Amino acid sequence: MAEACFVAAADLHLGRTIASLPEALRDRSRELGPFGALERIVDLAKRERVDAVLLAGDVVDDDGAYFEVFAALQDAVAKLDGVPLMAVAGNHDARVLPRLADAIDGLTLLGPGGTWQSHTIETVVGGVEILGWSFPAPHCTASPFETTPPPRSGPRIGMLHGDVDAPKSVYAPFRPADLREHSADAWLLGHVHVPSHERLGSETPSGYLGSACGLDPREPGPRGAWLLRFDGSRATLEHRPLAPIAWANVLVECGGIEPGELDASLQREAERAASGFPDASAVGVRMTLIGEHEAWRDLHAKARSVETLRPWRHTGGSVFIENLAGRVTPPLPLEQLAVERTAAGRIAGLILDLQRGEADELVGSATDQFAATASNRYLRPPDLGERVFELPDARQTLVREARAMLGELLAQRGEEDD
Amino acid sequence: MRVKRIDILASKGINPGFEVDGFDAHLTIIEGRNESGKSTLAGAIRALLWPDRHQSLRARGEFELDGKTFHSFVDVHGGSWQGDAPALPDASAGRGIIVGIGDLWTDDAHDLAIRMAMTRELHGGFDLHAMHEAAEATTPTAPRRDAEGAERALNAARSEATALMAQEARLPELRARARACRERAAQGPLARNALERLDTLEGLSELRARLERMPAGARRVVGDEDQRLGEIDRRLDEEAVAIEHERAAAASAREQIDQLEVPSDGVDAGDLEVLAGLDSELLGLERQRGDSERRAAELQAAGDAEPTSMRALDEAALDELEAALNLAHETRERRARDLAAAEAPDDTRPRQPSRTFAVVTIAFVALAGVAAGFEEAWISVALAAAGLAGGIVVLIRSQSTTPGRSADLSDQAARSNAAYQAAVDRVREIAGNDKALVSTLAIATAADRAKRLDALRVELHGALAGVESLSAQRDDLLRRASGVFARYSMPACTGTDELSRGRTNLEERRREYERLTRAESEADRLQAQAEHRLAHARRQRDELLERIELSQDRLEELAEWLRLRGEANELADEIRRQEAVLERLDASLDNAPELLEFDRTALQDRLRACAAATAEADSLQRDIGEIEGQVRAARRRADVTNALARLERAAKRVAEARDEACAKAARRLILDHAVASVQGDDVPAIVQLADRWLARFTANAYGLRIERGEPVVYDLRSGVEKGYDALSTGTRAQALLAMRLAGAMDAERRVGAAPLPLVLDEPLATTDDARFEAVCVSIFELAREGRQLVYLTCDPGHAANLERLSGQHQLSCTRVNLDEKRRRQAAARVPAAALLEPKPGPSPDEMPREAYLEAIGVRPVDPWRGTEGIDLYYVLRDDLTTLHALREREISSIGQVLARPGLVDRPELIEACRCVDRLVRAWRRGRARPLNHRDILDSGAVSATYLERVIELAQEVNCSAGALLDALDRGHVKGFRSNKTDQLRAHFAEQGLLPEASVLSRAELLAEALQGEVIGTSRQDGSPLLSIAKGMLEVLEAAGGTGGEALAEQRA
Repeated sequence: MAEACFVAAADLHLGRTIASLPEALRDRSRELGPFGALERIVDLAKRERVDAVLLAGDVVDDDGAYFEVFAALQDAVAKLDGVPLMAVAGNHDARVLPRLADAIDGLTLLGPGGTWQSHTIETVVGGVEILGWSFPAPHCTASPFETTPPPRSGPRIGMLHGDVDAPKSVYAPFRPADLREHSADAWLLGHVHVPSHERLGSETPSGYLGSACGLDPREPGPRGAWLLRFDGSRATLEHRPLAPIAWANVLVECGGIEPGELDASLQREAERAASGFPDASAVGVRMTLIGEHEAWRDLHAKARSVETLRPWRHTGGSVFIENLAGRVTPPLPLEQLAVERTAAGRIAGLILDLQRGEADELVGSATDQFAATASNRYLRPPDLGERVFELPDARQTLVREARAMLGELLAQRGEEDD
Repeated sequence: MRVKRIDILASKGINPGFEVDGFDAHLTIIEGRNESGKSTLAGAIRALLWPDRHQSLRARGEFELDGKTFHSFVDVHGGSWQGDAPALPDASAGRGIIVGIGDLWTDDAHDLAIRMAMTRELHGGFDLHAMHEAAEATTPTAPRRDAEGAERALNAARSEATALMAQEARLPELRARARACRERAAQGPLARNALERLDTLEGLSELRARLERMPAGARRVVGDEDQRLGEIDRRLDEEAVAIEHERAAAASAREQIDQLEVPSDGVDAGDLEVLAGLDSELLGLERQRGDSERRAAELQAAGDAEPTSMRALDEAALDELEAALNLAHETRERRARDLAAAEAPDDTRPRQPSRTFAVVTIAFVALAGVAAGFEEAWISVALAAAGLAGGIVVLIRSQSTTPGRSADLSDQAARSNAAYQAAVDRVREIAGNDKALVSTLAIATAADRAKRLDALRVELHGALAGVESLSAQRDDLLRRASGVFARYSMPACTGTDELSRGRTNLEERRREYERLTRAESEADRLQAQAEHRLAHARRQRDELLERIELSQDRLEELAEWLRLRGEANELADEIRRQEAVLERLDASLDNAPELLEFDRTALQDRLRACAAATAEADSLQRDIGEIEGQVRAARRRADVTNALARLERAAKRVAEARDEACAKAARRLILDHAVASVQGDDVPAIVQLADRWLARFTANAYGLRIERGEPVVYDLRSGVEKGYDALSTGTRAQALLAMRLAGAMDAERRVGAAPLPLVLDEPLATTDDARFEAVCVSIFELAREGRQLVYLTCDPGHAANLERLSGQHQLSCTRVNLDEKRRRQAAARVPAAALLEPKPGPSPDEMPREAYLEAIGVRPVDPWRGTEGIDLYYVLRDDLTTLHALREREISSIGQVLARPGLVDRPELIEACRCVDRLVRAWRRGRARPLNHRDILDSGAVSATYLERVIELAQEVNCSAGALLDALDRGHVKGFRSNKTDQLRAHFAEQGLLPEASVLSRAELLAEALQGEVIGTSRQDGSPLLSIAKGMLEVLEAAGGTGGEALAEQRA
């Protein structure tokens, strides 16, 4: 059956490198980062003989990266060899993408300056209208749908970058209903880096494409591009996790692990996680040791000696442990401890309260303390735009630290017993 | 547990043999002056309750518990209970039941330990201290600073990129401007061409005018005409000269030919041949004639050489002579033979053949000599051969002769002799008296010579005839030659020489004639050739002149033509070039015909405008190139990307630091929660005890409670928490005493021990009367509960007051005057040495000196602790045997010797100890003891903020109080205020740490030690006392610099 085919991706953030790359992989940062992802998108487009490549905003990470991105996009256009490359500008590239589109023949910007614009592409199923809206500036508090898109006249694929269901957002907020009102055969959204498969209440594929490449360990899971097939009446999306680097968060239950086996267990777990990303050239695994273990201190000591950020080869790619946190506690008979009129008993009781969702006052204090801490100018991370370093959850932190403290206290008792 | 008796056998600063007994079961008040041994006693009780090795104490203790007596012993070698040991808490409890005033001055490590124990107890035995410390809020600044640096770097990269983007945005405009400028500038070459065209036109006109002014001939000449004409003329001259020369040469040849006087056809070769023949023939004749004449002369000479007599003989005479000679010869030989035969015996008579042979030989020789006179050798040889043959024949014949008779022989000999004489006479007759002729040989040859002379005569005549014939032939030849000469006008010749000369002359003339003839011909030929060349040159000249159209009469114009020729040609060439240029320029202006209408000024204006446009275009192009280069470089670089990555990494580190801070905050909250959730009945007994005791000690003014997990003193009336620093000295002492007491009691409780005796060494010296009574009443309760009380004081008033209070509270009390007791014991202890039990120890005879000293543990000198404790080693370092003997009797310090001189029966040793004592006291004069941390703490001037730094500074200045104050005055501790320094100074002065006296010199010290005696006069330098004093002085100097180390140890 004849189908029109498109490659769609969003949030490439060209110009950004993977900051959490191990030193040993730094010289491959371009290959493993967004530039590498762009090359893979182009390769996919060539391989699938697509009708167009569609980029749903934040193609470029920073205005300043204009020059560094220029050549990559020019090469991409050249490699596409006539296959249209269409993009809308997001908050990151509101200024720079129009400029790039002006400078690079073959790169088409849809909807410059906060307008709706469509471009029809002739496919085997006839003309398909690609509708797009671009950020006029890095911040845009108005909904894109405040201006009405042109009336639909046939098959239509919409591209939009913005925050859905976040009315106060400064990143082009809009409602799911807007998408339903202005129907399209598919709405390809950018901005939120987590790919979403939900249809936003629409009958057609509508959702965030997610970042084309996990930019740091906080973007775990499969990332890449999507193949959009349209048979003239129905569009389908197929995820292609082609990101050159993938991130995985792994919780390692240490219940049955002896300290001496920790290295091997961690490697096994990391490789198991990496095997879920066969297309990735490198996989970074953020590991957390959890569970209860009598030898929890030995496990933590062992974990501290594990060399992180040291990649090793596995099934053709590189695997490395990005971070290893020890959260193992001794077996904590909380209920039993909680009756003790000791510090351990009081902390055990507190843990139970926290786990039951109680101790709100303490959680509130922690939240306030965290906020106060975050307001310390020395502890305030620099502004990276919408990429904020979220404050740790107060309740979770309290539970985690209380368990750790309880473990330490019980260790004192163990020492006394010794 | 009750103290019954304490025997202090030896202790620093205490006379040995000090014992205290009679302790009351409830309260024992021990009073005594300072240095009476109260603190030593308190320390001994503690040491004996937890017996262990004690460096400066040897004591015995007797205790009673539940009716059972326990004995303990401590000394330098160790300590132990004798028999069973009572159940006691650990030794730290001793810090709670035996308390001195110094212990309560400020809170020390033991007080902190008590508080920590309280806290630990509060939390059910868990130590939260480390958790509190670990959870203390910290704010690492490095990550944020790194992040700010990364932000700056990113902003800079962005700014640079933005600036470059702005530049790049200008590129289209710049390119357009540059294009426009280029287009404007493109008119420049055309305008330049038009201008050049004008210039060319003008130049052409001028050139053409100049060319017109030039003579036409100047353009016809090619430039070498003058040279060529000159060459031709030179050749003409040369050829004319050559013609003349050849002509003269021919004439000269002809003249010379004429002078040769030869016929016109020259010398006939036939004549020369004739002359040559004649000459040759004449030469032959002349030679023959010469030969003949020479032969004739030779013959004449040969004839002349013959003897005169020979020459006179004619031919007949010669024949006669010859015959006579022959006869003589024959006879002579015969005579000789006959004589020999007659005279000789028969058998020995010589044989005839010998004589015959001799004759033959002579003949042969004669013939040979004649033959030798002939020229031909063969003649001589033939003659010789003939002679020889003859001789041989004769010889053979003579051999066959038979010998004769003697008589006959004599007769015959006589006859022979006569015949011989006759023959000789005949010869003499003929030859005269010529001896030569008469000699035997001459006679033999005379005939030959005569014959030969004759032949010579004949030959001479023939030769002379030949000469004449030849002369005739010669004359004929000469005539014939003269005839030839005559034909060439030459004189006749008369001889061979003339003929030869004439012939030679004629040949020379012939050769000269031929040469001259050839020369004439050559001259003629050369002349002809020169004439031909001359004609050719003339033709060339004519042709040349004809070509340049120059007539012969205008030759002088040629030079001018030639001079102008170059200029004319240049002009012509230039005109051609300019015409080509003009053509090109016209062609280039086909597309701008309007420029052809411009005048020079307009064109120059246009040209200037174009140059300006070109410059602007170049400038724009440079700008464009520069921007494009920057853009290319920026596309290759990854400044922003790298800066972003750096910022992200830095942000991540800041976030991690923040999360860590949040985690710590959470921990603090958890700790606070754990502490805050302590209920009233959770407060541990130790805290409750301390609270109760403090309230009672302070008459309910202060109490102890738990705040933030820590026991804190608070005002019971206001409820306000009071820090230890905020308490008065007395209240602080009471608080600390309450906590120590509670700690000790808690320790007893934990191990289930009986109440230990409470020994208070003037802990209430800073307590007012009301509090004193409150404390006393409180501790009386303890006594009533079975805890023995021992109160030591130097204040009789306190002792009396306490005794009074005990009476009021019906508590039994025993009062001990330590001074009196010690006096009594000293008097009763005779001899004192008996108290000292010899105690075997290491002997210096059994080991090396160093090993012995190490074994006995010589105490280092501390000059600030008095002289009593100074080891006797420093006095007896040269007499280890005595030292050992004294140590066996437990006498090991100077103080012991000085306190009880009777112990040692050695006056010189006592004197030496006194000397050292004086020396140490004198050495201390003007010197302050090293600071210790207590000096600094007690001053109250140094807060916790500065304490560490001030102590470090004190160490740096070697614990000198004065130097520390100077350093503080100089601001070495930043922020330490001057009023605090003054406070410190006052405290140091009060403590005697700032002596005003001056330090004594070494000599003064020694003089003081030796009681003013002049060193070197009354005492010799080598005296033992001086040696000891000097040795001690060195030890003191060395010990004086150890203050810093001491402070460091104290601080640690």
